[in-house]
Amino acid sequence: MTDPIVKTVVVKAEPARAFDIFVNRIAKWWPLEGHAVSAAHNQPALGVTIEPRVGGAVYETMYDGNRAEWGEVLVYEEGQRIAFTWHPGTNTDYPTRVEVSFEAQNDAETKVTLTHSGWEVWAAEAADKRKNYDSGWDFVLGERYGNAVAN
Amino acid sequence: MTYDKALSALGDTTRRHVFEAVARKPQSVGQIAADMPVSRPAVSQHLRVLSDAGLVMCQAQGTRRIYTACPDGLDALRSWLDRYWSEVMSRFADEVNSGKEDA
Repeated sequence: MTDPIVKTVVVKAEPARAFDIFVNRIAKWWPLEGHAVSAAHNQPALGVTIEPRVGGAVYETMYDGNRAEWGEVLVYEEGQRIAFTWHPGTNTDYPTRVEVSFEAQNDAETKVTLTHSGWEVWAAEAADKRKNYDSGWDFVLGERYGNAVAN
Repeated sequence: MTYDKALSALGDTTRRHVFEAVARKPQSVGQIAADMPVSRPAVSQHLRVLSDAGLVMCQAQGTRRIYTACPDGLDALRSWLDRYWSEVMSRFADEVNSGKEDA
């Protein structure tokens, strides 16, 4: 009914290189100006780091040099898959989860799939429990976004 | 921003339970507190955070204030996350495809 968010892109690179850019060069391409805790202070972040190992931290170097924790690496399979908890800017005891997989395609291309899960259970819960007096709710979260997410 | 707030608000276990309680059935602070090992002031505080995040709303029924889940809150959160990850993946693809890091 309510699915995780899934995003897929195909890039012109072997999986090993795509993985390396994603993990080790993240500060070069991550949208630091808007997609960071620093954005709450109307400042671009200085950097983002993924420590390349299970248990490693995922964190932002904020505009003022302070560190904001985003999550912790759960799965680290070099060149293939990385997963981490995701709770940017919050001290949460119920983090959501982001997983990114790298799959070889023909002609030195890689299909990169990002899945953000864990948050949607709240929506499922609310949708299920509210069904009796708000029938539109199921449709909005289930059908409408189910299609949008497939892209 | 509202969406960061929604994600953050639901990250706290107790607050998530409060949200789940009102999603299950519209109810008052007193009713919520009766079913949880949490004081009424604490429930009120959690409801305030959830309300600021656009996840619950309050309706007056006579002299009572009844809290209900706000469907638009999670709807907006989903849209926001969807856009967020689209932008992230698009920037990533641009970086890989540009081949800049080889220079």
